[in-house]
Amino acid sequence: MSYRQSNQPVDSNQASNQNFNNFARYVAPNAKVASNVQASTGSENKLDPRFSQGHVPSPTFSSSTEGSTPTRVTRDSMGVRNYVTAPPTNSGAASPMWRGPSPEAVTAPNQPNWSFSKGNYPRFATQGMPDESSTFHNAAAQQAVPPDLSRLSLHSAQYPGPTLPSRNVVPNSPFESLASETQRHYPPEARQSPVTRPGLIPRPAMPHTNYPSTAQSGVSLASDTQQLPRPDLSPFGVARRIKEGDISENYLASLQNASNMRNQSGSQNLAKSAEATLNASMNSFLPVACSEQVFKPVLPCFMRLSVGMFPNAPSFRSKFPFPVGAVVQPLAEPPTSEDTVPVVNFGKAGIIRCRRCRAYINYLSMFVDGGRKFRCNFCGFLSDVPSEYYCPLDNSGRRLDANERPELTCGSVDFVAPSEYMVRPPMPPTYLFVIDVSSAAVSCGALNGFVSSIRQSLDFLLGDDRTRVGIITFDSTIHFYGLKSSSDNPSGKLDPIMAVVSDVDDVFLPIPHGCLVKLCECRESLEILLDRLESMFTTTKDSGGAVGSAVSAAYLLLQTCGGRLILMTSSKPTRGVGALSKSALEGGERNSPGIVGTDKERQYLEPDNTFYKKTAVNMSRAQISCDIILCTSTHSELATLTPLAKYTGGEILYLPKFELSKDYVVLIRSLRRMVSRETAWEGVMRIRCTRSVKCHGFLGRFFMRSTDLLTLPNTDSDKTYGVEFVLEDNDIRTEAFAAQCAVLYTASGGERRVRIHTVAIPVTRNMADLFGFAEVGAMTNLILRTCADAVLNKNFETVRKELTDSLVQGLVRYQQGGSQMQSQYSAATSLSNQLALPEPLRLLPLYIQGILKSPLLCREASVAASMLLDDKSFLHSLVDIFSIPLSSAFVYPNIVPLFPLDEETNANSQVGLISSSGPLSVQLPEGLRASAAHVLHSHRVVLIDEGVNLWIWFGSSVKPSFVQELVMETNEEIASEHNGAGASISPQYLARAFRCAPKPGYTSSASRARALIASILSCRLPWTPIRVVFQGDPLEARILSLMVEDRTVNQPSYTEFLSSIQRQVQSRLTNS
Amino acid sequence: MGLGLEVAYWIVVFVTTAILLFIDIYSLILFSDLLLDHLNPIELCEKVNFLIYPEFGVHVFLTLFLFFGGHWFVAVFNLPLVAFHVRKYLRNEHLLDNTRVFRVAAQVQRYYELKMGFFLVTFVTYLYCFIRAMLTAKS
Repeated sequence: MSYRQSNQPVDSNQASNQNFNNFARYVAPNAKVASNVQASTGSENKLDPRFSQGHVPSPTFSSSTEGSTPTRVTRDSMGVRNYVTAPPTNSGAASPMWRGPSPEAVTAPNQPNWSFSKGNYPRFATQGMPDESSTFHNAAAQQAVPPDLSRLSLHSAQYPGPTLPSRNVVPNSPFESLASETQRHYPPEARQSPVTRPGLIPRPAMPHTNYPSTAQSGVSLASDTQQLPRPDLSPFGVARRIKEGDISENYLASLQNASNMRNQSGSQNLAKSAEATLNASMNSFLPVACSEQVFKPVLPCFMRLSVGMFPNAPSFRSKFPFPVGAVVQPLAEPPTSEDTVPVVNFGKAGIIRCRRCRAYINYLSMFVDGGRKFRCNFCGFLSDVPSEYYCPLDNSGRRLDANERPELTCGSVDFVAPSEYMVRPPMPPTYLFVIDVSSAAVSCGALNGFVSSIRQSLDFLLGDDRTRVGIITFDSTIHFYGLKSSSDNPSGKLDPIMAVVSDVDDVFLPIPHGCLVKLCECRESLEILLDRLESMFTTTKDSGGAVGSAVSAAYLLLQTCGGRLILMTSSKPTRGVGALSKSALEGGERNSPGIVGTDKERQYLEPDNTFYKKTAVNMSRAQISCDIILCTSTHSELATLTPLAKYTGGEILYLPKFELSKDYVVLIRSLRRMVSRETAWEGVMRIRCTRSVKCHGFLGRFFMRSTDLLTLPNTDSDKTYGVEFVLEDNDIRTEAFAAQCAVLYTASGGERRVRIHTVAIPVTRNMADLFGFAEVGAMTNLILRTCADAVLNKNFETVRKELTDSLVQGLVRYQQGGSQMQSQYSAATSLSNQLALPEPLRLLPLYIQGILKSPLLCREASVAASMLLDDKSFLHSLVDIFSIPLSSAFVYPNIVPLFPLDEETNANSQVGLISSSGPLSVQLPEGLRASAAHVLHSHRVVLIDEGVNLWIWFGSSVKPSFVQELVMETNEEIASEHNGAGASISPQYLARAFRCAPKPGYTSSASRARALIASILSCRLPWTPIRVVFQGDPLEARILSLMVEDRTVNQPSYTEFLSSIQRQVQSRLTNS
Repeated sequence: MGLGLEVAYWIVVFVTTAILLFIDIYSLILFSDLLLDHLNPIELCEKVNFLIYPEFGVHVFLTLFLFFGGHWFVAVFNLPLVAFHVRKYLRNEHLLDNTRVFRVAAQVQRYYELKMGFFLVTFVTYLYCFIRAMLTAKS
């Protein structure tokens, strides 16, 4: 029985709903399901054994909603709903039809679409509000049964129901392949975790004025705060959040949908709708490049769009107040080794590209004319296939070899670029270390740290025997070192030559050769130099400060070959070119802690002079990137140096209050990671989109060379870029929107390559789709980036207001859409006590509140006191490279208890032990919500993962046995230090103790805690500091500011924030 | 002869405005080149920034010239733009930053268009004054 056939007369309604047509095609052959209707409606949890196993936490925030509907919904012990069938009543009809589950006993046995919506829409059913699709169901129902308003609304109320149990009702669902593709590294129980239901948040009650104090443990808040939307706090949910950031199920679904559209949109299907007929010629290039089983979409860690369906017209886009864009991390490390990006070499044929728009061939390209031509999926242009690449087509128009070719089966692929893609031979990996040897660096131990970290990372430098290195040191003069090759001087005179340039205003190169040498040839000479460096300068009295001159010297040295400049400094630029102005040197307001968080800070976050920006632009042209490692004990104007890294794609590492004992490990780890992670040299990046869409407002570390071309002298696996898509004047006339990110780069092995990521999502004209398939992780990331950028040019209050406004406007749009739908069938119901949120965006208010409370946008005194201008500047520079896991943790910290681990929620679990499956290698405990009353219990040790910092909070009455274990199981070096220090344990010491690698075999609480920390650290940037805070410590204010759900001095609590948002939404709705 | 001086005076005003107009139109052309990828942001900024001080200077000269020529009304008409230029200079926003060009391109283009409109209006005004001066000189 075909669904589509039964609905022919109302088909015009489907015009814009291609997706559902496609589903219908899947459903049609599955007659068994259709006949199964009655059984599946009655007791769905019995039908699905997996679902009732109780692995999954009960969906939280919907239960009170159910209370408000005239529905009797009970829960079994597992938290799975049982629907107690109640006779439909008129009061049921009056309730908003999208408010939670209602009894579904109304459907007649001969209604096929019922099982259809229930059983075969596992993904689509999770949409938060009835969109056209549900209209469409209603229309169908109208045809089958005489119009009965109560039935209709009840029926559609079921539609966005609890969902996803149907996976094994339709075991061969075509989604499965892709679903398992995207989620295969998750444990089986996680795959079945139900999507938390869409719906309404209960109106927040009047704000609590007095929260229970932190000393009282275990005080629970009023019941309604329990149901507010929060990220999934189950062990699996927390693990996934740490590893991949927030990702909504619907977004994954829309990716699948895109691939389904791609494979299923045969002409007969599309020709059904009038719209499709109009676009028939356009649609014909929706390709069938490979078969579905082998298709691998782009992993979410590489590229993620903030929407799962793309708006089709500029006017339509302008009504959607949230960013539509992408977060791209082109060289991200894939989660498992089997996901490595395949490398394709086209050989003689050269890289196959569209002749008009220069887009690269991908899984959406379609071959026509017997395989002699292919149609570009971005601009629709027909290009010739080179004869070397020619392959005949089969009956369905697919290339015979499509399934074997990675470029036609994978979303992410590396092409080997031939010589046309080079302006010069690929450069060897070149590292130039520029080291500060002034008295400031010597006295705080930074020089020692620099030298030993370089020595320890020499073995990890990329490029094998092509690597070239050089060293320049500076204080108030610049010192060059000529290194000698071992093979040229067999007699053993390998002492490096030193040349000093004291004219810091006009630097020149005193040694034309020998400053930049091959590592493999001059290794011994280099090590001699490193050994001597420290002793040479131990007694130096030089105040140093020729930072700018040293940078220009390094620029001169690297000018011709490009490479990587690693600036290691601990002094301010005070001499020579690029010296700070007098006002900046004196400090004045800059040093005062009160300046951060006021509108005055903006002028100080601007660079003091333009020298570094100019140098950075020149460097970017010469393919030099500059990393800054700033180890300092005083204020040192990081804001002035930042442009060096920002416009050359470099890294910034800022270690304030530098002490060698504290920061030694971090410094070594970071430098090793910086030089050894996958790096792309002399790169350029461009994102191509479907015609009439342009990329705009790139955010990240790069220099823009033309409207859409980013120069990246250096980019690596930790760098993330944000981009927004702008629709130009015309509507999109294709079925799918596609975006292709291409990075042309030189791999460390010396091969020129192009890395491609191609994503495609369907185009929609339906507002509900934009909300229903949004991706909250990417959206938060983009909003955070935009805010961080905006706050440098605008007042705090303006930015905060704009942000809140966009949220309110979004909710208003959503509710307006909802009430329109509603008024078609029933009298308008007052929404006064509910705040409606689309399911995928239900966390957005929480995250926006998190952004508002973050140090970026917050003027909180406690935050300001713990942050100086340099910290703020460092934070801004970090936001530029925030990946989605980092931004998710930054706006809502991941909080897990470290001790005691055997509390009631985690009883009998293997927390902290190695687990084979799951996104993290260690079994995590249940997460805690970011509220002091839930987290800060005095008998606990809690880990708070803020993305950029790991905080460990020690309660005052933690069992001493835990600390003893922790100390005992550290390695010798640190343990001895502790014994020397006496009985009291400092936070710094504990932080180091936590950082020690867990010893295998131990299962004590301490080593389990350590394993947890190690596994979380492995997902964070290498220098992420661990900070230990004892209860009652002044730094606790910072911890309290991380509790984003709580009220602080100036900021409302989560409940209060929601109610104020709700009031604003209400007033807009009544005014309009 | 006094009237001939008046004509010469207006010719100077006229030519200065023409120079300003030229600078603006040239900058606009540079911007459209940038958006069509014929020019990279570094070159654009060099060229545009090179013209910014002359433009400010010529405009201040023009305003003073009108002021001392006794044409109070037109001088006052020019004052807002002078004030605007001075404000930009004091805030250090007058030079184009090659790292942010694409972010601000639309805005700056708009600003140049508005300025061009202003100069066109004043150009016509001065033309009128010039012709009137010529007619008075003849009669």
